Amino acid sequence: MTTLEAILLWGAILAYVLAFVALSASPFFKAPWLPRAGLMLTFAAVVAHGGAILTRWIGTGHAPVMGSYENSLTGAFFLPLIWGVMAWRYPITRRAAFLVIAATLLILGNGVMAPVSLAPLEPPYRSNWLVVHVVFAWFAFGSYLVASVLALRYLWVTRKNAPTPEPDRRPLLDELTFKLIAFGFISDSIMIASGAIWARGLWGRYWAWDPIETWSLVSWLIYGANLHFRFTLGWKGRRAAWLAAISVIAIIITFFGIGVISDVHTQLL
Amino acid sequence: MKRFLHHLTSRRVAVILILIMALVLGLASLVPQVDLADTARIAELKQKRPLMAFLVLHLRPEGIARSPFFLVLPGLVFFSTAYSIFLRSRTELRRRRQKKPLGLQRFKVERSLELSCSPEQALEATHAVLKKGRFKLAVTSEHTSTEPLVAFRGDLGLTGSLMFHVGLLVLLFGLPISAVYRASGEVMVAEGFPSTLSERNIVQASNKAAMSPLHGVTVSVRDFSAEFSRGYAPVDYAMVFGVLRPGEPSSSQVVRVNQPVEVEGFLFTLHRYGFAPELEVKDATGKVLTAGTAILRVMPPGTEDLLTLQGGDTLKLALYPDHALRHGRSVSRSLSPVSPVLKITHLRGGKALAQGRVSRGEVSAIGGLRIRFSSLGYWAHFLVTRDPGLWFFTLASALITLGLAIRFLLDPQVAQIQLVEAPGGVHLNLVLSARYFPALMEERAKRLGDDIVTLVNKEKTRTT
Repeated sequence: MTTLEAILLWGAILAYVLAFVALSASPFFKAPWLPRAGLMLTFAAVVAHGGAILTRWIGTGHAPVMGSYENSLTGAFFLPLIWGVMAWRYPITRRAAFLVIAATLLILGNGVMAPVSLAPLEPPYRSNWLVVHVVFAWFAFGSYLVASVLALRYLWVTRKNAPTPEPDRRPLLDELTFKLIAFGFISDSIMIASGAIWARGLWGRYWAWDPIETWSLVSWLIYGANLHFRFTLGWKGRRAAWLAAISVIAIIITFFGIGVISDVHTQLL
Repeated sequence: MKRFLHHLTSRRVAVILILIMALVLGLASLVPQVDLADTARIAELKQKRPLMAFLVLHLRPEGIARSPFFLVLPGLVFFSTAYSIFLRSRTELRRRRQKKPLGLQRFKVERSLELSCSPEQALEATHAVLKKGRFKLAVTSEHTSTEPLVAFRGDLGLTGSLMFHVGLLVLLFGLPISAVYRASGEVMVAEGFPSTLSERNIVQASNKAAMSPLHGVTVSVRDFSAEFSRGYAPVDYAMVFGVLRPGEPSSSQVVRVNQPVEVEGFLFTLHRYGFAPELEVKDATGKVLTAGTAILRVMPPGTEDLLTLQGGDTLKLALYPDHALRHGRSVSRSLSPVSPVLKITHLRGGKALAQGRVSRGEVSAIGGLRIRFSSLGYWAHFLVTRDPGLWFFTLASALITLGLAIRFLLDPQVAQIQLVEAPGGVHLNLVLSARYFPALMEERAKRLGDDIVTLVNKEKTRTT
């Protein structure tokens, strides 16, 4: 890790922590500047985070998608990015920011504990499909995770005895959750397809039922079922939000759990 | 029976089946993929994970995966999806045949506006806003101001859904084709030693008869190149792969990681490589005990391999491609063959007689043997596969991703707008409808109404 990368990364982590504190404390204090400061700190953190990714990219000479540290660094960036787009277009989602930041910090924390030395791209990763596969993997992960955060927010604002706002825009939160799941599902499909094409060139087969492949399929099936529950069986509101919030476990196992409990993709050469 | 069929092909059952499949796959992924004939692996598993070993040996998960009970799950999903496609296609085709535009959908949002302009100006502004919102007008030429104006967008959305489900069917159809007709094996070729493929040297073949098109074809490798970054980190491996078919001129092409070659419909994928030192071993009388290329395992450097000599003695060989001595012990600074050295132990009846080192291009006397290490080549290990299911998977992937993109980007929506002359202007009634997302549609209806008002006001300011 270069000095500049370390400064940017730790600067981003500090800004995320401060933003998290400001945003999670804001409901308890009547200080209108607190959520505003939280959002501004989040923005600063995202800029620094993006800078750290760019510095890493320049330092290694390849997109930072190799190994646990680089994957966490890049993957964590997609959470505030996807949430930011939603928050910019639909202000109702802004109140879920502290949960998104908490998830971002957890992923970054997982990354900084891994080896961070600069290394060139290994031969198996030298494929044009790498970027497609990894970028869409993180889009899927980010979309599903932000969707579950919005679902949790929806469950909170529709809890028993929760005040009914005027106008009641809570159903929008519910629908945005499913828009994000739909987007995540498309990204997930592209991720699986591009991974299979890459595997065909690398290992001579497009599918081998290794634990990561299997769990990608499991997540895909679970989110496919999610969409079916919503679109064809008409689930909505709290029931659908619970489903969206719980489904995220599958994608967390796929991205972070498999390495702990089983073998991952076989490495070549 | 009809009721049972209807229930079996219902979407509710399809969703339940999908969830069961997800659950079964999730549990199956926890069980290690072990060949029951691999006794060493089984023993290792028994020692490290006794519960898993018990499950593998007694439940035989491989057998479960191939059992008709398990295969009935994807079969039912296939059946349910196919029936659902049939019903939806029939409805959609009927609608298109009758040239009917999409009717108002499940959810409706209504908005009323009072516009202080002429009906023509209001109509013009409405047209412009609908066009900007990517709505297509259903009726244009015969439209009168008394009739409601109907516009729709995302008409292809349903086609996207159909494409996705057809893709799913193709995928489910391709999986058994892969399972039945997929053939794979492994081939090892050393630099400078062409290998004529036969049943004997295509090892680990999943289906020996299926590999027969390769029999008689000679393959070779040469000009192996390994590229290292900063001297130690591997970044690329490549070699020239030659193919000679009986009675045909030879052909060659470069093979590298991620860049396989195709021979007789089989894919040759570079899977592993290693060093192949050329050795000559003579005894004290000058008798040649072995001469040729030894294929050595080299990962990690120092890994030992055995070479049997004439007469029954063996040599234990370990190669250090970039040799250095650290505290008197041989180590390799990298995998780059800068200064290769072989560490050799002469064994007789499993007992070490002598030990020594020999560098490339040198001759060393180790015990009573004279060992020449003349050059260092490479060997390549290829995975050889043919999978007719691949084409189904590729087609399915394209249909699934494209179908999903169309389905979710083009969400079917219908707008119905009624303009009625009112004192001081026009009364506009906007009904927007869609199958899903009523709250988002409300936002859109608000935006459409606001845009119409803005455009009318802008036009008014411009004319005054």
